[in-house]
Amino acid sequence: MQDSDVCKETLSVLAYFDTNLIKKIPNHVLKKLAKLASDSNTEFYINLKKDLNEQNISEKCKDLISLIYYNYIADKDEKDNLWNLWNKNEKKYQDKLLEKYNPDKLFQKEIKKISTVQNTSSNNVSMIKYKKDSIFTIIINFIKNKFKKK
Amino acid sequence: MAYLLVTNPDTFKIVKDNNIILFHGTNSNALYGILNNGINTVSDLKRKDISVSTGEKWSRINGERNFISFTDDLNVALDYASIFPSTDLQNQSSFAVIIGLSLNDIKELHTNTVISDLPEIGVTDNIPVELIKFLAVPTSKIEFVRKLVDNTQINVMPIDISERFYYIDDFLGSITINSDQFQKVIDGEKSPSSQKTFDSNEVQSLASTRRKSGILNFVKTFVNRSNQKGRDNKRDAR
Repeated sequence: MQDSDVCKETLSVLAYFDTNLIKKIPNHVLKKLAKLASDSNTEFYINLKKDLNEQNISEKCKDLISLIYYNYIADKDEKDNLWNLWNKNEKKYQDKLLEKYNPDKLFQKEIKKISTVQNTSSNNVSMIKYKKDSIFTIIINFIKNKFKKK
Repeated sequence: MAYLLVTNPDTFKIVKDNNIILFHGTNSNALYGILNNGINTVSDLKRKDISVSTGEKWSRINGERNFISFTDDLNVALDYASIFPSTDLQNQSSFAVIIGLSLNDIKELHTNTVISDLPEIGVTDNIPVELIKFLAVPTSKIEFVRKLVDNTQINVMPIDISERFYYIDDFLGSITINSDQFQKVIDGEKSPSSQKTFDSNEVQSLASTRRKSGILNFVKTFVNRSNQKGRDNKRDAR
């Protein structure tokens, strides 16, 4: 997604903010966004039946809106609260990443995989008892094949 | 006799004082381009590889037009402003924008007659931002659009389909309210796009889902690219 698209998408959402919130955003910020947005070839619409959290908007647009809210709209307490939440979310995210890509665990998984493959392959080479068909089975199969051909 | 829909006395005064007699309806997707580049004909937009954001009805149905359509009927302009590019966008909205041109400025532009069922005129020139004297948007979007507009000559005024209709006879001051149409509007459904807003709680709730590194990375790349763009422009200018 281009920067110009992010700016245009953000403006499309900001347009539906309460007037009280818009009043707090400096003119030069909106003008800068509009200038960048003028290069965008994408159209953005707001779903009138959905809340802000349910709107189909990009992650970058959500980041930019949050940044604008933090910088220009939120009061000191809200800022502190948001900053704490962002740190908390960051920690959760990093923990998840660590869990997913932890080298020790990855190594353990590899070992498990290898042992599983070894087990399977050893299973594969185990002896299978060969059962010889009786003369009756051979005749019955022969007749069945004949009928099938017809 | 010009047929005019005027939403409130202030808007009416601006229209009358500035001799604004021609209107063009579009929507907010086109607004940012218009504020930066003016209004361009569809063929010119395509030549410059700029998207056709909104709606010339004919340009979508019968191919491109090499002129910009204006009308002296605000209802027609409002119809154009409510055209959506595809029918699968139910409940999806951008807001209506009406652009007004003054009679004094039209003399500088080349126009042609359009064979159409609607009262319209074709302007064959691109219209620079300086010639736009009037932008009308829903009342709830006034503050937002006023902050976007850099040019003090452009009057950003409210327009609301749920208000009064007037007939104005050659700006001589004789005004008649069209009561039938006024009643139809009163009885009809209010425009939803002017009612929906996001409040502080909703924005705070959205912001609380973000994480620190995402925000900081975004700031870093965004600021870098903006600065780079500035340097590229300087290089181009040399």
